[in-house]
Amino acid sequence: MFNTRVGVVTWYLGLLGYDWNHVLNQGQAMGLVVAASSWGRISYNFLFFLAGLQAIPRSVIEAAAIDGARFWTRFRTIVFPLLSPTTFFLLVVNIVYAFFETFGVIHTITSGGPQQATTILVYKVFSDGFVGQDLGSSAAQSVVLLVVVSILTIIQFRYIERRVHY
Amino acid sequence: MKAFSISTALICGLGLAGPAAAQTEIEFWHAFTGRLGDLVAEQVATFNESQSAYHVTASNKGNYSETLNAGIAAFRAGEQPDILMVFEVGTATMMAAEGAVYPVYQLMEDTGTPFDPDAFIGAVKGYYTTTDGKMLSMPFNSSTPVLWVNRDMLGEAGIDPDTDLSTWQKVGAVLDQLKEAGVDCPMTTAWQSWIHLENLSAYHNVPFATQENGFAGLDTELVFNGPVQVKHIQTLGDWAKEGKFIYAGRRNEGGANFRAGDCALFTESSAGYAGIKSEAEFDFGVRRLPYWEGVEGAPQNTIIGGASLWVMAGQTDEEYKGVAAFLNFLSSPEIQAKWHQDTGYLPITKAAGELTREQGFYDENPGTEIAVEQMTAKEPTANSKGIRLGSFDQIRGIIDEELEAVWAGDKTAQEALDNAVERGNVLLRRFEQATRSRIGRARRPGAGARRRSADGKARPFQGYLAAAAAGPAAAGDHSHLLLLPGRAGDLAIALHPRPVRPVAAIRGAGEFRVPVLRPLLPRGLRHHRDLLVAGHAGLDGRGALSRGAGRPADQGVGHLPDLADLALCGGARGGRRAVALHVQYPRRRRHLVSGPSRL
Repeated sequence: MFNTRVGVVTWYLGLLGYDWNHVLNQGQAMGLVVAASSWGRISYNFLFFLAGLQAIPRSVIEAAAIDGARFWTRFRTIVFPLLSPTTFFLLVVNIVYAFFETFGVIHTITSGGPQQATTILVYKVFSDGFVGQDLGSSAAQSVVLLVVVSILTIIQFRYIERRVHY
Repeated sequence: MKAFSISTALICGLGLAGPAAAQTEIEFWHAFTGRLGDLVAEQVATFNESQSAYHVTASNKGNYSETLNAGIAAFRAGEQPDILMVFEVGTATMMAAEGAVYPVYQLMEDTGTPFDPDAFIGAVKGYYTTTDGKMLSMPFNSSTPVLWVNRDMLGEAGIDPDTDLSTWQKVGAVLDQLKEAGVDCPMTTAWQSWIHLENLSAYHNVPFATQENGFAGLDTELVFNGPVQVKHIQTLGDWAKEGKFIYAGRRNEGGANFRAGDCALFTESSAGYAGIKSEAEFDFGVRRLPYWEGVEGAPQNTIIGGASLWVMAGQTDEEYKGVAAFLNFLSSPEIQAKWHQDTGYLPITKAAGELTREQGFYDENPGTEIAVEQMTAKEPTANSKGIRLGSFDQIRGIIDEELEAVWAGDKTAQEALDNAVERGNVLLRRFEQATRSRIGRARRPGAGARRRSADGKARPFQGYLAAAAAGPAAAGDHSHLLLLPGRAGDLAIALHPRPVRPVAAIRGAGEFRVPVLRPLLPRGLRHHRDLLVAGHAGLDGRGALSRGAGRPADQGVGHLPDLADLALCGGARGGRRAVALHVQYPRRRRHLVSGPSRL
């Protein structure tokens, strides 16, 4: 679809006067990777949110409605706090996804290019280790990656989990 | 020790896998899909039908890079195929992987197969031959870049389809005309680094790297940021800005656009012929690769791309006989001539070229001989013999990145090429260092032991290393001793009596790095007559190696029955030692003679 010469989207964007060329444009390449990865995650996230919404007791919402809370107030003070464990779980899982599993999308679409725009850390680990056969550096980078993601996860658990109501 | 337990498992696995089938299985990993894949399958089928002793199984392992990586990974795990297809870029890597490959000249010698390296055309042969004239791998598919022309498109734009496109100046003028006529994609390319830098350099007789492009030594440095290359890349960059040169991707993505009739001119390998012929619904032509008029010595000759077949070490003699027969079959004139005519790859033997001419193929398909002529027109110079660089696959990756910056207009050609040279040189130095330290150790028996003692550490090993180093030499010419280094303090010695292969005599021992250990172990263990003595010493410097392994090893080689495997493994952690004796009768059963015991 996004193929720079025969893609449908490219063609429509061309009609709108926008020159789509993710093979050369770094921003577009990254955008495409982000869009493609996010697209695949929507269904997964949707399922969890749906389950979470259905688990919220109607009675609480009704009680709030009787107390005069409007939709937005109800959402902000009741629904969202009750959804917070789900949101928190998805936040952690999605961040881990962004760090690791976007690899497939990048490998398929851009192979880390153009230039190094989409060479994220996990892709660099792969290309140094398996293409360059520089296993030492690759292993070290993977440890760095592990530490970064661990720190992010710890931060989430320490600071965001405080605001989560189970 | 983990490495050792893996290797023990390997011994077991090999011992159990007996010659169950009457036919010897030969595994062949290649990188061809689509039409080329079908043609390879056809060749293999022809070979399998032509005789009954061997059965070749060809499997595709992805693209060139993926196939190389799959081969390396498989070798480390001891699961390597008999034949691995490696593209020209991996040549230096494979050449440096002494011990992992079984040189073709030697295979032919050992199996008594008639083999004449001079039958191959010079440019092809030179690429895969060492400086002392030994052919290490079997050329298989070689091609060279040419200019493909969509004649219909030129006609529609009001340009004579037979117009002269021999120089880039003339191509530039034609591109202007095409652009004016409203053509969206006047020109595209495949393999930008190979065509527009490597071949450009050879074709204009300017160096790509010092030391004869890496042929003369490992201390080579990239020099492709000279005026000719900069001028060419800058021109292409300008064309890209003006929409006359369309960049489609790093590999051969551009091919899809050309075959679909989207692009007028296309620089691609002569081997694009197979795909273009089967898909293109327009009248196409082949031209010589253009050159810059006014550059002295241009046009020289272009260099090859493509792949050769490497025989991997660590298989049985029976399999190697089959491999030799298969390789011989592949280079026979009939097979080569058919391959050349079907694919557009060059006829790699002179006989195949003559046969093709006799069959009248060139008369019926004008243009197909251009690639051969372009490559053999002049005697190759030091700049146009080929390119042999370590980590070349990665260097190409760097070049791709930097060229993309030029096409996008982010950098000038000079900046980008300077940058690519600088980044590439870092990789070359790292490769040189890694290869040197291995080769250096391999060539000087006992050097490891001396070096180790010179630094004043690990004295307990000193005597045993020296004794072990002396041992195999006394045991006979074809015995080898491997010193396998492990983590700091870990040390494993493998005595390795193997008649066929001149693998490294001694490796390791100087610098203890894990990566060296891994490629060596599986080979040491795949042969039923290997004797492995592995020792493991704790960080305290006291070694189970010295006591556990030293003595039996010194005498063991001579006394053990030929077919027995003995593995002594000593592990010491915190002063405790464990030694396992492990004798195996190959192809039958294995016996664990004794479990852990104290010494």
